[in-house]
Amino acid sequence: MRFAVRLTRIIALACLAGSLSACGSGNQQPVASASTGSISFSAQSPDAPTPAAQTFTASVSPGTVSVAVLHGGSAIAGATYVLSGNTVQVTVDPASPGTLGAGNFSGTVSVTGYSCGNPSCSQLVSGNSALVNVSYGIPPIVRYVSPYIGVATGSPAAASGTVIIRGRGFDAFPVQNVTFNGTPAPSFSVVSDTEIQASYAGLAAGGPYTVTIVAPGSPGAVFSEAALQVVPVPNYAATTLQYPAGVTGMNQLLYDAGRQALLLAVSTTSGTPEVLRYAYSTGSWQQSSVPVAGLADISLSTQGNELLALSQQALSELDPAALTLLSSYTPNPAPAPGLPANAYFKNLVVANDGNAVVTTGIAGSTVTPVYLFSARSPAFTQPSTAPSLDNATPGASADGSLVTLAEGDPSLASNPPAAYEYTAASESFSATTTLINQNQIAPVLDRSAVHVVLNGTSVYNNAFNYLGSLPGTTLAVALSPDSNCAYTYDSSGQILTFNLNAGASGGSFVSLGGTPVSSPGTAGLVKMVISPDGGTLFLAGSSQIVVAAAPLNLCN
Amino acid sequence: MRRLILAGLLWGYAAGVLAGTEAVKSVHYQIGYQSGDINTVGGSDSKVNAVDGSITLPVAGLVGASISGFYDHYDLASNFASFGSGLNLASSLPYCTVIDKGLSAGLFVRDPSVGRIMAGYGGGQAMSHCQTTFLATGGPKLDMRDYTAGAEYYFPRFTLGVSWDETRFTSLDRFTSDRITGSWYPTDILRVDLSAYGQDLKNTYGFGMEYQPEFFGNSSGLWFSYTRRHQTVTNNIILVGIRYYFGKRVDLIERDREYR
Repeated sequence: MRFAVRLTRIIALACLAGSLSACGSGNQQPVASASTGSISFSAQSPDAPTPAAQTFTASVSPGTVSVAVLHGGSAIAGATYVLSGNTVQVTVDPASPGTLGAGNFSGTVSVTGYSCGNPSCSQLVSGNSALVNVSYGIPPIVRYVSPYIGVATGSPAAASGTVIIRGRGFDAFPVQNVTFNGTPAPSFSVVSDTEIQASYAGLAAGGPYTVTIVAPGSPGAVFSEAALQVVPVPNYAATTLQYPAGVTGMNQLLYDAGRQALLLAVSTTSGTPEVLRYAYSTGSWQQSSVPVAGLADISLSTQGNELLALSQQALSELDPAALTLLSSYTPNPAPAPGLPANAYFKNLVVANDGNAVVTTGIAGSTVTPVYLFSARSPAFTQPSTAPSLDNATPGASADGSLVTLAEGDPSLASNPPAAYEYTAASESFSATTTLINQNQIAPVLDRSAVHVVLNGTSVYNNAFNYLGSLPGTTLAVALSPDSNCAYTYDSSGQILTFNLNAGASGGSFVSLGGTPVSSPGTAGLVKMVISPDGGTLFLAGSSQIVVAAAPLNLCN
Repeated sequence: MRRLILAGLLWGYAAGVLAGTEAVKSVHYQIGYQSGDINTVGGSDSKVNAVDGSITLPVAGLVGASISGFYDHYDLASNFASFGSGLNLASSLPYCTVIDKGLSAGLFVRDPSVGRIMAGYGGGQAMSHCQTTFLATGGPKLDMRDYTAGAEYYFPRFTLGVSWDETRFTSLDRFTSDRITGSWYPTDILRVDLSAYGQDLKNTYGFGMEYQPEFFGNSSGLWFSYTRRHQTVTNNIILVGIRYYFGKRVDLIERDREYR
């Protein structure tokens, strides 16, 4: 009897529950489905703009309480969505190629519906997700080859040598070869993701030879902006070239081997400095010029496509042949960070990573920032390793691998500061162990940065081990491309030759002989540069340019 | 509905006073922590960690009341495909974190020798911390109101319970479920539960245990539950938890029927 009563009570309770349950809405567990299973993005190179976003739609079943659109994988920068009823429109933004670099990247976007997991819905459970796989292929890029000039020698004339190739993505895919307009490199070595060292041989004068890599795993053709130009051995007669009237001083001298031209930064009586250009054609040198306000220094860009003209408050890019203005960058509105108001741009040289190392100066013996200027994304920047130096003067190797910076006040002999270097491979600055106060002679390096000469007299190897000295009467220095010889223009009016491989006797390198040349004028700076074949020396001074044959075969 | 609840409360009050029995012998507090895994078959696992607490107190005669609260942290799986080596999970969100919290209150009429009838109301909020949108609100936040009613009948070592829940997200959007639960006490300190759900939680079945070891002085309970939900998608939910009981040290069966 007692059991029967209890059973009746149970049935009553169950009926109560049953009657209440009729209020249910009949939801189902969420299932999501997408309009596509995959999305693919592609970019030409790490330097290419970010591809446009792509969209897909997904739908979730009616039982869904909430929807989550999540993404993972480096291919995806973000995923946003708009919900309309049970339909989700998802927009997938790919990551920037510059952020990713070269490679095959992937990602996943999931659209997941969630439903209530317990009666009070304080617990949510996942339904099935619609998964969309994202693939993203970015081939490597070859940006620069340095030096970009090769010299055809011998008979038949052909060029051979080694170059440093800079770019991005060299580690992303196995590199099977390096080619110069399709001609395979005899040897190459992948140094890092951004650097390959390669040799070339048998290239006839001409070009440009597009330098690229063979990487079969690349998701697309490798884009190359690097070109090697092979020039014949020039046959310049010894001569002097007069400055045009009004030139009062010379600050820089460059030899543009690809165009057979000399480029100078000079000051004038008008107060507006000029870029002078002497182009060689059919046995004579033709002069042209362009005024550049506040001009302090000039340098050819990494590939020689632009002439960088550094003014005290701006950096301009000029056409190296026509000297027309291509573009100009000033600290305002693109300020050089931390540049004191009364400081000015002083000098620049170009490294093989596309950066120009720009030093600054200020009245007195005070440190001011050193900047990098990249023509690829024009801006003055300071990497974390960038130092502040005292009126520093840079010098660069022809292959752009190393920049050396000397600083300090020439009038001070005590407590000399350290010389610095900028290593293009790591894009970083560091102090060397060499303590020296700079003088008027800028640092000089040879083609491959085997030797460094500071103050025109102190010779170091590239680890900054001191090797010996050149005469104290040196006014200008040039190093032969093969790094064996040092040529000095001496106050005696001669070009002296030193064999740097012979060792210094008593701490001084011994002159192998002198060759008298016309004086370029020694009232101010004297600059000396050498042609890539090592056969011609160019001197510029306060009064004129001197073209002279380099003494050959003395250092073998 | 209101009339039914009101009638029940009045009856409980009168019956309790006349019989000299109480719905709740003394005020009862408990706090708990639970952790678990929510598996979606064919997908990834979600994680949950939660704390809760409740107070059960006598009102008058056979009428008692309870107030409870919870705070749940979910890492809800998005069922990502696994990534191979060499792939960076930049900006990735393989899990969606949702915080769920709420408070509820209930009134019940209980005769410890017969059973209990109860009704409750609660409010809660779910907040997503990822790119989640609640369909009812179109945003990352969802406010919920929960109405519940239920009854339990006490056999000597067995309790049969039924309950009905309706959770409203908006005035139109709601989630409703029914549940029937059988609880068996093999000993005074161990309870074994079997549950079956209907409506939106149809095809959902649960198994649970709570053990109140004596060596803790009857102050703590260890519990475990496993729920399997088999609808379009199958979920397996495993939770383990611990509860601490303040105040009266009593056996589990006595606690369930006379204190909470």
